[in-house]
Amino acid sequence: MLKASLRIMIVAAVCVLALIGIVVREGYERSRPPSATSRDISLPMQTIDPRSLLSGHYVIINLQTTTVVPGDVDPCASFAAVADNTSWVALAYAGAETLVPAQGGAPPPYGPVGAASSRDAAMAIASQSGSSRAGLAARGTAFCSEIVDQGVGPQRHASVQMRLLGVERFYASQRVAERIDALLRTQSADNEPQVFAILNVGRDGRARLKGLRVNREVIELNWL
Amino acid sequence: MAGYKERVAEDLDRWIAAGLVPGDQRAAILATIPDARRLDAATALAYVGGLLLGIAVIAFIAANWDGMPRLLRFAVLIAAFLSFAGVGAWASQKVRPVLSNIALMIASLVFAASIGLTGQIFDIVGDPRTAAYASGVAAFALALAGRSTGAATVGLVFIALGDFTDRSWFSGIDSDAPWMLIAAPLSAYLAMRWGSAPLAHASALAIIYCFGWFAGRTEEGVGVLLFLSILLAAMAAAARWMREQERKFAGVFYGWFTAAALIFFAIAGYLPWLGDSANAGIMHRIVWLAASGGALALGRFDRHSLVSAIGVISIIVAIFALLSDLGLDLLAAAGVFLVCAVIALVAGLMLRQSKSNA
Repeated sequence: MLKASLRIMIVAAVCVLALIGIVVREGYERSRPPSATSRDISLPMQTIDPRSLLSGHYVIINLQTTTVVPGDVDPCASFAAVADNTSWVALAYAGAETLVPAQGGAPPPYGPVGAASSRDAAMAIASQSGSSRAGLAARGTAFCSEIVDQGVGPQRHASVQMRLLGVERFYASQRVAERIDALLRTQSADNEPQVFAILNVGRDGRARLKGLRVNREVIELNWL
Repeated sequence: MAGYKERVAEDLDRWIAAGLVPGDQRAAILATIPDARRLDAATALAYVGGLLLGIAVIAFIAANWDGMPRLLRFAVLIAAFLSFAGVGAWASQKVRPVLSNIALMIASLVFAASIGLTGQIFDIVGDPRTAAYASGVAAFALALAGRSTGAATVGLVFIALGDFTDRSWFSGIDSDAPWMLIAAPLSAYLAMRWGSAPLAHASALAIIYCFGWFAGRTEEGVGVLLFLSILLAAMAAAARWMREQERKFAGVFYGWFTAAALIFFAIAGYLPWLGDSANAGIMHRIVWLAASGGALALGRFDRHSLVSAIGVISIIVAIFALLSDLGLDLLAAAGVFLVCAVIALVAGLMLRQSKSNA
């Protein structure tokens, strides 16, 4: 039987190694080269409230976007899957189809096009979006609700609220918070500030936050 | 307030004066009672100094937390955890069980905080339930490694937090079992083995919580509640037997299981059973009153203050429940209380009779 002091130090070492292992694994997953099922993307999010940032030093990542579907097609038809801990969100490229240089090094913008109960089903929905770029599937939930008061015309609008597993909040130091605040204040009332969450969708389907793009300026979350 | 040794010395002086104990045995008898541990001023100051130093270090780190690189913050967390674990290991080697227990309890708390802070430092959002379970498992591992009742109690709390995070146990929606089903019996075993009163209380409550979970997930309410009540009463009887065998802290389980048995029985009476007959409700209250009286009598007989107190509280609640059931029908209330009084008197007389025969 080992001595109690040795047993304690062995348990403590295992605990520390487990913590370090989690950090190393997350860092490795974030920096992996892109593949068919994993790459860096940008997702639109609701404008950051700088007061929340300055007081609490973190902000909830609220992935909400509006989608427009031409014709009389139901804009929420692909979001019928039951939202639970095992559901997936289909993401499709949502930028210009012509090749444009990335702004400030930010990855291409994506948007939600459906939800499914399996990764394959979500990938199938993403591939049907009509975009020339390959779609992605990320673990999480998406709720779609049609906006009825959007005037008349041959298109229908819907609001999609996403919650991706692994993306909930963004911690910021006072310095970074003030910088984001200053960036947001440069916008006029007519010109809505654009805020994107920069994510890495990994091979395991988990999304990992890598930074924010606030009004075309990228703020990366450096680990060092 | 005089300590145990002082009180024995006073009693000894009286017994020697009365000629019950020979005077030359006084010193020998008192020598068998160890002196109570007392904190001298230097030790007390050392504790206060250590505490203030710890607060100063925490305040310094908190003040510079934002300015530190992420890896340095992570290193601070790891160093804090390893320091407390190291103190626990050192104290264990030097046979200082109290210090070892406290250090390991703090180490388990620091590790739980480290999981959350690591997520914050590196923006890693994990499953909160997994984080709570991981903290609980680490605390139990430290407890088992260093025989720390404090760390085991922390482990129990974190397992309970994991069980309740993002779950609605008592709605019957969640189908998976809580981890407490393993943690509670393990804690009870450790409490009995290590002779820890706080851990005994915590594990007894954890076991009752497991019974509550089982009752909540079943739809056949009354039958299950009555069965669980009887089972808890049987467990209370087993704990009482172990107490008689002078197993340390079995009395704690005896008290809590008695309380839980009465609570489950009381709740069962408010669910629809035996049809909608009003008599069924009255019968339940009578049995409840009788059981409460039994618990009170047993508590007095065993000199177990917790069981006695539970019996008294249960009787009071049962009387309120009965009066509420009967409304303004005071004649019926008088009849019920008369029956209960006769039962109590007969039971008391029988107990007295059997005691005199013995």
